[in-house]
Amino acid sequence: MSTAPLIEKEQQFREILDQYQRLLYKVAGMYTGTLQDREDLIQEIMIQVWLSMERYDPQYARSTWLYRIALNVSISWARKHSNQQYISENEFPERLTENASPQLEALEQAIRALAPMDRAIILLYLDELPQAEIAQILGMSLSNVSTRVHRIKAQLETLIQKQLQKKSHE
Amino acid sequence: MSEFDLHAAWKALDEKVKEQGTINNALLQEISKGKVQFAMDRLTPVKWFTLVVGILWLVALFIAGTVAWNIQNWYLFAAVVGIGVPNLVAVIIYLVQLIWIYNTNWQGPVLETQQQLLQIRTSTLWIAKMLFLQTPFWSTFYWSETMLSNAPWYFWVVQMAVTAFLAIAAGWLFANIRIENCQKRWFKMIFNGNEWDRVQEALEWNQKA
Repeated sequence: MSTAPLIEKEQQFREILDQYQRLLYKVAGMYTGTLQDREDLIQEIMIQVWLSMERYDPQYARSTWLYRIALNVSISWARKHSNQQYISENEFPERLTENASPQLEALEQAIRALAPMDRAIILLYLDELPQAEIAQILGMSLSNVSTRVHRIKAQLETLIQKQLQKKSHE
Repeated sequence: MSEFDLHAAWKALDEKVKEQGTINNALLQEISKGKVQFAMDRLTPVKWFTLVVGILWLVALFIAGTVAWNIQNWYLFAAVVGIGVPNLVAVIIYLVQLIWIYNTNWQGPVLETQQQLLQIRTSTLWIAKMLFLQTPFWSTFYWSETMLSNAPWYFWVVQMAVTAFLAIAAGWLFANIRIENCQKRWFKMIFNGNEWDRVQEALEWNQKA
């Protein structure tokens, strides 16, 4: 690759990351337990974004493309690290919601308790993506997305209530 | 918690993320300059090494087969073929796995890509199936005409018992090493190792997802 296209690619890469870094942090945060893991996962997502840039298909929105990469890498990460043991109570989890309200902490913990694919669905739903786009990102039918969103929301609400009750008893 | 609350809490979480996360500029530069090692699948270097060892082993078997053919030792020749064919298939599966790993479409629909990744992991089971098929031939390669005419009857009783046991075990394992049996004790005993653990994790994870 000559220098000019590389510079252009670098610039595009920076623009994408500047625009969507919150998306990356949020997705990575939901699939990792420690700050170090989150940084490592973000790095892996960034590498994959860089490697996939030439194959970007403009028929999809940039965010759809990025969600797909971030979720694929994160779910794969979660699968590889599913048996990871944390050394101490203090080490797990370094939450996104550190020092936040109990409601926010409960939400984060409840999402973490979901199965990886359910976590992806609720993350996209809470990011207010239309269900058609969620279906496109995940490769599911619209009706399947709709059914699963209802089920996961109910599950999430139960988990949040449990978390809040537990906190109020502490 | 009502739906409104759920969305409101999520927005608050979004704000928290905004406070915490800024992409490290130095890292960004290192990636764009290609200085960061591509670490998507840590299995790959192991697979390359195994592939090279596998090819060298096939070369050695080919030489042994040629020698056996030239000296007309048909027992050795049959054993070399019986050991070589499953090894050849295993090496081919390894190669296909590597091609799949490099062709994984990370920007594809999540469900499809995850199925692809699962397929990569579970194809490892086929390697095990194939490698077990060779075991009976390890109990026959030393047979010879002299042995056939001179060895006592009890030698052949023991020999046949061992070969029959290995053949039945290999056939049974070939038929039963399947995803559906991944929770069984014998399966876990066989697949007890780093790479195999990853296969099981992938299978268990897929059941949960």
